[in-house]
Amino acid sequence: MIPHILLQIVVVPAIASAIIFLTRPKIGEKAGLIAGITLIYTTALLCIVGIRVSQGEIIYEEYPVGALVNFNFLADGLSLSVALIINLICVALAFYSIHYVDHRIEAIYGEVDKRTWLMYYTRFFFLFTLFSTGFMGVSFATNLIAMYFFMEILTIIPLYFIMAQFGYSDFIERYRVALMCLFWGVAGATFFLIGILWAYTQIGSFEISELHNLAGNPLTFWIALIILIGMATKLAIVPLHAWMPWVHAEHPTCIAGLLAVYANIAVYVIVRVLVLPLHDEFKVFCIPIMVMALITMVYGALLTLAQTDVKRFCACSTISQISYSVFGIGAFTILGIEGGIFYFLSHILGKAILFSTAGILVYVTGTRDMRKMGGLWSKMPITATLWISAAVILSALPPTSGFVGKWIFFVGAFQFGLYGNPIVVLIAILALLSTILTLVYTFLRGLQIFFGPLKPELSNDKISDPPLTMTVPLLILAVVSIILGVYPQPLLDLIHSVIGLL
Amino acid sequence: MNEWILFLILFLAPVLSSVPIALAYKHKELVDKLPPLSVFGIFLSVIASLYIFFCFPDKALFSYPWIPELGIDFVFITDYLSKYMGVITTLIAFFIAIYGLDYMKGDYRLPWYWFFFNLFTASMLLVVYSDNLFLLFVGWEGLGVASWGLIGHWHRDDDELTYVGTVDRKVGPLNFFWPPSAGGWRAISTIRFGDVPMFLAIAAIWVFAGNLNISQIEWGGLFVQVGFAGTLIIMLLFLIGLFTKSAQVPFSEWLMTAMTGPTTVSALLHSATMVAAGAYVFMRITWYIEPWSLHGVPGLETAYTIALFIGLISGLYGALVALGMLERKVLLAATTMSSLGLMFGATAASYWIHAEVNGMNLAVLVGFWYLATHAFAKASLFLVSGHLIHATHTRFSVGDIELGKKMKVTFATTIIATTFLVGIPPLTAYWVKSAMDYVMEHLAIEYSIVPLILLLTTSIIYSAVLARFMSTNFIKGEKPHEVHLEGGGLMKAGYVMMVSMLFVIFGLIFMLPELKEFVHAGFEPLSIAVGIAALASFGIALYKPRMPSMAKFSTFLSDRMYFPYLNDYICPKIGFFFSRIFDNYANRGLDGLYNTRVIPGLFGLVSESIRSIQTGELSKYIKIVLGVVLIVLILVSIGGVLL
Repeated sequence: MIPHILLQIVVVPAIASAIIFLTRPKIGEKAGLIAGITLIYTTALLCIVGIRVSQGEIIYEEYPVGALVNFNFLADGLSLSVALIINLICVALAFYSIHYVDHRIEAIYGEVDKRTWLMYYTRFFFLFTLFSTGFMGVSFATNLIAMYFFMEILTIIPLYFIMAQFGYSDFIERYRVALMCLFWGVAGATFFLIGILWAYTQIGSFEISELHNLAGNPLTFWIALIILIGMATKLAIVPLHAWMPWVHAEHPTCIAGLLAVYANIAVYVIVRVLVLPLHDEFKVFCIPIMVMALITMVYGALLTLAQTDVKRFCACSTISQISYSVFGIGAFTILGIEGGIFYFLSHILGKAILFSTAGILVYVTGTRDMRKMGGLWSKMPITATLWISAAVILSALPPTSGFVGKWIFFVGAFQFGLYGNPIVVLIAILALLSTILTLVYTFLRGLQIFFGPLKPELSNDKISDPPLTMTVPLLILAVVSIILGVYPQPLLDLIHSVIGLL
Repeated sequence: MNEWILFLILFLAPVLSSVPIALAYKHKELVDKLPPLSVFGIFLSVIASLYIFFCFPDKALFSYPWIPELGIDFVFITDYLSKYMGVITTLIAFFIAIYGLDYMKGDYRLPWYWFFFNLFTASMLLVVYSDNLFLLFVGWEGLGVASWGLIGHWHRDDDELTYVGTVDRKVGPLNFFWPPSAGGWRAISTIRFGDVPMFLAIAAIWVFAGNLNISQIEWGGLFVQVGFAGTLIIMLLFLIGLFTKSAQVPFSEWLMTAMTGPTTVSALLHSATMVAAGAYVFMRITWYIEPWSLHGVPGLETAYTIALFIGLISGLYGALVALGMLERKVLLAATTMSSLGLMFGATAASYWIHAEVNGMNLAVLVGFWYLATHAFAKASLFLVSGHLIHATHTRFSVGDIELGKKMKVTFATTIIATTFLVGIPPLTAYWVKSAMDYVMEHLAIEYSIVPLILLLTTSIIYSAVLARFMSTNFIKGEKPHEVHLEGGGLMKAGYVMMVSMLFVIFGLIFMLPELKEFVHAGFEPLSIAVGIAALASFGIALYKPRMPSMAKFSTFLSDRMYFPYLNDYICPKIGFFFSRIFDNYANRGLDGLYNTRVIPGLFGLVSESIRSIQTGELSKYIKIVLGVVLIVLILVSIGGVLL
């Protein structure tokens, strides 16, 4: 039995972060490796937790820090599934970053002396590992203040600082966009904070497990609405999506996948904080949520189609894709919610690959403009394969996890239509049609980038697949997605063990 | 033998046998040696399908759990359709694979080719044997992805020989030529347009029927439950998937430009996989829906009427546009579309045709055996085309009688494949088409004469088209600039084996009890008349394959009646119009609101007002303080008076 296993999962990356920071002159280039190994360790712990949870155990650890606030952690089927997939993505991107950050430093700061290089390089990784702490904290937290705390950690520390220091564009633009991201992140979290403080005035507790006491309270509607607005901001639901294209276009691509997680994890928060404890009260939001999700998915997809900047392209795609999970939750049947969560996990796998592949393209070609790329398949077959893998996952084609996820939440939506409001069937049909657009934009841009004759300016020896440390982690994520597509049962069982109780 | 092992071999042998060559993509020497392994994988599938055909019980289900709570399981069925179709698929894939050993030799992308070729075959087999709709859809999507990979195989677009259309030709604002990369894109985007509604239909079937196994769903009960609108919506959503896959009007364009792929791919795509999958699945669901026994069910007749007319109109459209085609493969592609239309038409006619043979509906049987005959004949013709393209180094129809003499085997194969396919008495397709005439003749009594007219017109034009193909390539075509006849042994072996299967089917028509109606129909006066008309049409076109006086009309036909505009102009224009509106206006407006103008502007204004106070001048600060004190005093005074 491993002691304090959940605490370790949350805290070990933070400790690694501190170690990297304090020993940076000594560890130097090994910072990336240390971050990666640390995250492999926590992933291994998550696998152990997964085995225990799948055997019916619910792991609960208590770490009180005051009368009302605590850092108690709960690992059930839902939180464990979310944490496991996210941590896996963190591992993959940690290894991906080893080369990428080196490239970014050179791109931003030019040829710098060893000491300066080391400063930036280690700075990235000590910030990067805090992502894991934040995500794991949000996943396992049982206290609303703790959940808020971890959400804010994510926004303020790794996201803001990494974006500001390793992002694209010039110095001023980078900081401006990082600040914009900070504002939006804090705004979303503040709505969440107002909601939970208001809930506290009614139930006298910050425990998620006590939220069910809000049932029947006339103020519950408003509390839920405020929390939903906060989460909609994080989820980039139209018209609160305006930050997403800016932020995704500016940050270093090695954390792009995590930014998609950062936005999408709000789906988990909604399920944990609103759907599970306030099941009956939440029903009133179903149709509005589905409509907003539908608008967002179509809007995002059409927006994506217009993009020529490969990073902005991925950003707009995220706007569209996240709303599929939201749609599933809006359907509000067990299958709808399970499908929404499953699709969330599938999307972040696919998006991590797509974004990172976009990063590879920028890394290799030196341009973000997809119109300047063309015929790259001959030079970069692995990168092309990665792009197509991501396209297949996001387009929900078999045998990937996206296919199963989409099937489950659309069946869930139909069930809602069947037993509830028939208008939902119409919404589901429109939503499904909007999925066509996903294939259109991913494959169409794939065609533009990789097919056809090689552009003369790209026919030099520098254009080739990047080092294996960048491609292999992404290929592993693709394999995970395929495994989840072919054999989704264990993950579905884990999610069902919690959602099925509704 | 455990059945599951056999199914594993059937589906996985082609895929696993192509993995080594895919992984060895960097080692050219190894890559050149590995294709036989991929062919061996398909050979194992042939053995497995034959074993299933001869040794497995009829109408048996083999179920293995996958996600049982969602009704998703590995459920395979060995019924009449799947047993025959499985053998047809594997045999055709195997013959083409043998041909491909020669045809693809030295290609720059062999790992890609063999992996997707075998994946294509395996996906089709999954479609053939799956009884579970979800599992079938997995194979269905596998077909889509594999076809994209294979059609766009020559991704560099650097060889005009792989294009479709005359290079640099424009019609209006649109380029009327397509490189392989565009061919792949057009295929997957059109197919996806149909797959998504089909996905929705399957989800709806699961929700309403609680079962996904085609043979176990209570179709009648399901349709009654969902009513007229529900039945129509479910059926149409499902049919859109089938129509797009089978390239029926108006989704036919992708098939024409799918000819940018290697000829082996065209052969496989047009015979036993992909386009055939649409017609096959329609037969399969019709087999179990039994629409002829559900006449009281609202909505079903409308759905089958739509299928009937889409099929027959596609049949006529395909034959007509093929009449003007100058490219070997594209001509054949158009005729495939036409044949598939007839398959849809015949199968859809089952709604009105009650005739049963050995417990099977005659109309569905006709559709299926036409599929089988067409598959071997069309695959042979495609393989012949590939060899001709290799030999003459052009994709356009050229070849005189001298070429026919030099390529005797190829010429003989073409003669057999064309005459056996167009319905000339007493060759193979004649009996099947006679039965089709018989079905449509009855339909004229039961429902309408229009389908019969469409069928007869299509049959006569179709016959002329294939005669024209033979004539312009071997008899009366232009003399080719160059002829390379060296090698090609395996290529010949491939199409000889393929075309010989037409004789096997010929024999089966007279041997199988369920096909005795075909023979009877062949002696009906209408069938004999149609057969003679087809023969006459064939002869005329053979003698006079081109009509210079009809050049303009011919160009209109070879331009596919300007249908490319739908795919390449109208749809993209609409899509990009909305995307630009969203990007340039909606998004910019919201950006202006939040990030660049309104809200930042307001904050700026407030900030500026506050900053304007901080001037550093003492007198100004005293004035402000006095002003505030004064306001407070006034407010207090008013408060005192009021209280």
